[in-house]
Amino acid sequence: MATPFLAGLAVATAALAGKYSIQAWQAFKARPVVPRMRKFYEGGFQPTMTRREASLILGISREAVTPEKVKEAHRRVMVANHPDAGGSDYLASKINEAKDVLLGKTKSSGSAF
Amino acid sequence: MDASKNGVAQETIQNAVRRGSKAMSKQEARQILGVTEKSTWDEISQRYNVLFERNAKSGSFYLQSKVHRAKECLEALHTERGQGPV
Repeated sequence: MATPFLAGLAVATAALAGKYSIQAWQAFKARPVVPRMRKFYEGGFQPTMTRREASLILGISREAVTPEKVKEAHRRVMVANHPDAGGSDYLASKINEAKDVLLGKTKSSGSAF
Repeated sequence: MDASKNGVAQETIQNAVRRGSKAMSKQEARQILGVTEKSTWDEISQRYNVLFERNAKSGSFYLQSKVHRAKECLEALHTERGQGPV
């Protein structure tokens, strides 16, 4: 009867299919890992600084805005961009502006401090 | 210090009006890197490296992006210049 022959053929086919699947999977796993680079923000600064931009400049989340965090973030970011230490004036003033915006010192609030 | 009245805010608005698009203007790019029109590409490259690395260390990713975009913006300009007949 042909049944054992067919059974053997089926097993062989399954084995080959399995072998190629495993090879494909290994090739997939072994593909060169390109580190997923975070995409840089586009364009320049916004014409009027928003709270969102300010929080981005200082590297803090908008939910976690407290005066202490803002001042601490401002200090940290200014260290990297201090004009006297090789930073640019423009960036330094943007950082200062970001701090003012987040502390509510914009012209709209008219805060005395 | 009233941020809305100082020169930088005014310049930023002018930058935006002038370009009318999301792309960074050359003027702003130079301001960000702290270079002038007369700066050489070497100077610009150096300023970029310093600012980029320092912001990577203790600045914000947003500022790093701006520094990077500023260099990109000026790179095109300086590369074009280099290819012209002297």
